[in-house]
Amino acid sequence: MPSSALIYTLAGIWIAVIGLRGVLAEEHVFRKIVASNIFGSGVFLVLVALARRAPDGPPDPVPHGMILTGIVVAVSATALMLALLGHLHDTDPDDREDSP
Amino acid sequence: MIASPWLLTLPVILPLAFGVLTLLFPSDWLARTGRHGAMLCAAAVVPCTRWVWQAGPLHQSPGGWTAPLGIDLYLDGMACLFLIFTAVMGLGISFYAAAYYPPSPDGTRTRNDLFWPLWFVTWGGIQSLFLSQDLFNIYVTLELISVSGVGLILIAGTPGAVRAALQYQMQALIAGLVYLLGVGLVYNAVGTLDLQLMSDQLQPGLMKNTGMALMTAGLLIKAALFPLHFWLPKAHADATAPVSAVLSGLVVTVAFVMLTRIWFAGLHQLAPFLLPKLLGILGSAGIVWGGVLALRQHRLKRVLAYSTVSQVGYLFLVFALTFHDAPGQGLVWTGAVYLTISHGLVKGAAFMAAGYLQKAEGTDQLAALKGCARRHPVAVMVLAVASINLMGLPPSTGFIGKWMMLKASFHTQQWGLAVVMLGGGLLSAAYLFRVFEQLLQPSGPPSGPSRGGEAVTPLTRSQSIWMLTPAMLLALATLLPVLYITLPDALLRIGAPLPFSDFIRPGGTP
Repeated sequence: MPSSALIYTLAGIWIAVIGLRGVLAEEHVFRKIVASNIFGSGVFLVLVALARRAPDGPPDPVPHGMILTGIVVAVSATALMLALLGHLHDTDPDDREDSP
Repeated sequence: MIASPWLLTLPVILPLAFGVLTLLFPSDWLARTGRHGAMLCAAAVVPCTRWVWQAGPLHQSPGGWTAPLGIDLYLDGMACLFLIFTAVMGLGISFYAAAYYPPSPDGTRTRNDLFWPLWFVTWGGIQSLFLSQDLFNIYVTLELISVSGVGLILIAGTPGAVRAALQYQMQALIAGLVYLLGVGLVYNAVGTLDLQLMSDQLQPGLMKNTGMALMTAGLLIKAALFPLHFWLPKAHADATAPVSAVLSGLVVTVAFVMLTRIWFAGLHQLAPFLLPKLLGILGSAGIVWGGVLALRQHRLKRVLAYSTVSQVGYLFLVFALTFHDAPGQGLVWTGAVYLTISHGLVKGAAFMAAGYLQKAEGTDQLAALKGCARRHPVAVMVLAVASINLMGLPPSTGFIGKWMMLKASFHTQQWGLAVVMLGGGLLSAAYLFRVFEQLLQPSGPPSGPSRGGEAVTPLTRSQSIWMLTPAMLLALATLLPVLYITLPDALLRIGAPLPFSDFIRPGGTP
């Protein structure tokens, strides 16, 4: 019986791979942005799973701090990218399908 | 001797404080505030240098929180050398930018005014990165630098710049997350984020090796090593000239320096066996690929941007050359540090000169710049000095760096790398001569000075002087290494991560 931490770690890796594939393979910028968020969620899930070091001890707070910072960075980066994409869409409507 | 508790904090706090001030100040104060702020920020490095020189490496824990819980700042010879480099670049860029961005006619804030807060925040981020000794702090400062870099690119305001900024932010986010995942894995195995504290428990293990590989991969994207350089040329070429100088001269350097910092702190033991070799191969490919693409560009700033891709390739040869059993490690390391610094200085200077030409001629299309050596001899002279360095010709610092690395490739018998380094020099000569062929034409194109379709506002005399003097000084600084070559060498030895018995002096024996 695999431990729950292992299951979460593998699931996180799986989600991260899906996200990374999206960032690399998707044509449309909006899809790339969504994919980058999926990638981020996968990474955070791996880190959360790893923070649980002992099966029944309390989890390690340091990775949690790292994840929180990572989420803040990812959210603001996403907001910035969406704003830029919206700006491009407004100013240059012919070009909206073009990836940068 | 007791260090002031502010010694290592000031180089970080001062630029950040000026970032806030320039955000609040009215538009017509900014140029002056920027220049004065730059001088203050640069001055903060002086006591640090004095300390390292007299008393050696220094650890400080801001706020009194020590390493396992708090985040230590660490100053050694290498960090100090890069602080000095940042201060010199910062002064040059600030004086240049103060002349480059014209004051708005009616005193209202314009997009150009955002250069100052973003630039000072970048500066603070870079200084704090060079003082970092903590894997997670490196992540935070790298993200800080990236986000302000995105803002800096946007100052250009063109759709091309917006697209470049979007791509820049995308690579920064992914690179940051990959690096963060690596940090998480290493932390999970080692139980600390402090580079010094973890150095005694670095037995390889699957988790640690994977973490190290991920951290390296994240930093490779940020350092734009081939084939992860895709985001660089657009961003560096489409930004306004002071921003190009910041990005190509300073920001690219930063990821590489942190990578060496992590590797040389002992974590190279965790690198999977083939990684150094792979970095050598990618570096070689980058030298060739960047050079070939630089040959095919029609705009001056694009040529310079692809030249950055090529020069970054050189830096990464250090990993293939150093983590090898043969002696001569210190030589490669010193060589790579010289190369990093000289590339930063001349690429900054070259982008400044290119920005001057673009402003004076209305375009940076090579065909339209025909014959402009007659009209702007000083700017072309700056480009010439920079070219000597990029080609690696004596007596430039670029030559010394490349020569040290070449010597190490003979020592370690990696002939392939030696061939690539020499061939890369020829390639840089080829793409730079192509530029000069146009610039040095005896006559210009027939039409008047608004060839690029943009309206050209003639530069005032003082504007020209303030734009070209910093560029010239930065470029010349790399041509006079005979005068000061022993200084960086001695500085690098203070707290160096490599055993010094391994060091070979330039021209000496092992």
